[in-house]
Amino acid sequence: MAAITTTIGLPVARRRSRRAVDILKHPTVVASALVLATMVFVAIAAPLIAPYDPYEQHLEGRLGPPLWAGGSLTHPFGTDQLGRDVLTRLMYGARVSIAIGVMAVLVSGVLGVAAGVTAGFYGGIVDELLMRLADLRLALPFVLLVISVIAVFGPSFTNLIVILGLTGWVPYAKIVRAEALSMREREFIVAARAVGARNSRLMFRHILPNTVAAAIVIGSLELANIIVVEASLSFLGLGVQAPTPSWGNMLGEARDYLMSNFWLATLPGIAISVTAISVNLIGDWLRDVLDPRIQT
Amino acid sequence: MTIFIIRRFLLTLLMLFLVGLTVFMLGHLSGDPVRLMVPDQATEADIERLRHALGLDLPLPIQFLDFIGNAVRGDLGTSLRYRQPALQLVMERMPATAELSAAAMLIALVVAIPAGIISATRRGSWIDGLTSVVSVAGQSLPAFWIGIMLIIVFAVQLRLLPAAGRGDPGSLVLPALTLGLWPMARIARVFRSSILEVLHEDYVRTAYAKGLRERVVLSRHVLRNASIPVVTVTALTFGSLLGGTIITESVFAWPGVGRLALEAINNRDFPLMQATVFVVAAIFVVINFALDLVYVWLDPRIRLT
Repeated sequence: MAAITTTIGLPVARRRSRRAVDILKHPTVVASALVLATMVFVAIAAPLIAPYDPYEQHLEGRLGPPLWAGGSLTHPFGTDQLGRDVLTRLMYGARVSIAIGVMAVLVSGVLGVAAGVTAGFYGGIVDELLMRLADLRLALPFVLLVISVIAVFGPSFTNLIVILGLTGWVPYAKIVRAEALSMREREFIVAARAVGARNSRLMFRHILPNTVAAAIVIGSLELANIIVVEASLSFLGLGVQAPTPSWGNMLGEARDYLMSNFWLATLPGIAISVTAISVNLIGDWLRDVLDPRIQT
Repeated sequence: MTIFIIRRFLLTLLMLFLVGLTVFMLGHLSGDPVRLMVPDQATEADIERLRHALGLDLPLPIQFLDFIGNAVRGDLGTSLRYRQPALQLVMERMPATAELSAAAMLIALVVAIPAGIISATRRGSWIDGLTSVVSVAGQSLPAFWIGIMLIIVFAVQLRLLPAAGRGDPGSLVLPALTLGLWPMARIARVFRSSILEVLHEDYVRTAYAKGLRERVVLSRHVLRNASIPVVTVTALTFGSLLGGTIITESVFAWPGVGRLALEAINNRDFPLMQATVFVVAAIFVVINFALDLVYVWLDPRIRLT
């Protein structure tokens, strides 16, 4: 590892700019970016573009089929067990998934980068402590841990962000620590120290900016992960609570109608999968462009 | 080498202690574990009685020492709902989870190993393309949704396999497939990149230069050296599967540890929940230790560090 890190310099920078232009040669990445942009737009604009109110029930028109199964344009994706419009609820569900995902990633990214820079920069006992803490977190089964904490504090939008954010810091910390470790002895750090820069300045002005690329790559891959975990929790009834629509709890509610109305379970699943796949593909591409050494 | 093993062993003990501390704290996160256990209509007197009965009126450090002392002796408390030792309940469910995890890992390895080899040695082929598509899908698709889709296709529409429960061997197929997709994606990915890395090593070039045939180079030089990361991922994934089956077990009504944990949470059965978290984490820590020993055996260079 050390041998590789000391050899990067100018050539990498040059390769970077060339690869960034190459994005048009990656149709899957372009498609993923378009899908994601659409999802984000729908999430933000849901109240303006959704055809109905997500809570408006019409019990006489419940379990209406979608367009391709004999439905009509009034409810293109059909209606659910309470007669609510599925398309509308999917649009509002995007808000929940994306908002929780982005905020949890921000929380865990900030924590993880801070822990990683500190551990890598100071080394010694601080490093040892933080890394043991990381090992402990990895030893605890993630879903089980999150569920237990939610059982204690109760499921809510804020609690989900806090819990997913607090538990997701390890991947950032590990990678950023390795970067900081390899940077500690590099000339620009030694030089900055020689002219009298304090530790805090070294960390914030010199080391931190150099770890941003790694943090962005991990963040994008973690975002996909968190979206799926949030959906799983909501599916189990421990995430976003009904009647607030989320892709996960829509799927959970659809379980009772698998025999007769399987699209109720199919559509939110497609929404989650398409979003997660797009985010993952963009994350993979970002890694190739920014820093192919990052192992995830 | 002995020092390495002793150091690792001590670290493992420390880890188990920290796991115990975390599990203990889980119960006290909210400030008052008793209130989590009792139904809403319980009176103050009921709460006090339960608090005293469980020893929760003692100072925290004493409670923690009690907890650790009991845990060492294999006593992880008594389930509030079943009124049986929590550890015993968890262990009763363990075979079902172990069976499911093992089947899932088997499916994952049977697909991932050939896929990894072929996609690394025949880069750009259709198998390579298919492998990368399946890897991305396997890491992105939520397990519970895959499970439901499998139920819709194979149980509801085709009526080939049972939708839920644990009975004849057929009932294992769908849950194992659901659970195996993620490790399959992960292992194939790791194996592929690990082989690609080894293919660039000098000794591989030397082997080719000596005129060895590709098959010999691959089996003697490449696969052996490329398999170390695969051992790691496989073992760690297996460890996390033992705790990560909650969702799959919930979808397929599989009577394993994951469902027990979910039941415990829904019933506010805190001792049982603590026991499941503790057992699963302990298994993971012990697998990690075993893995360190396997490394020493696989790769003598590790002994130096």
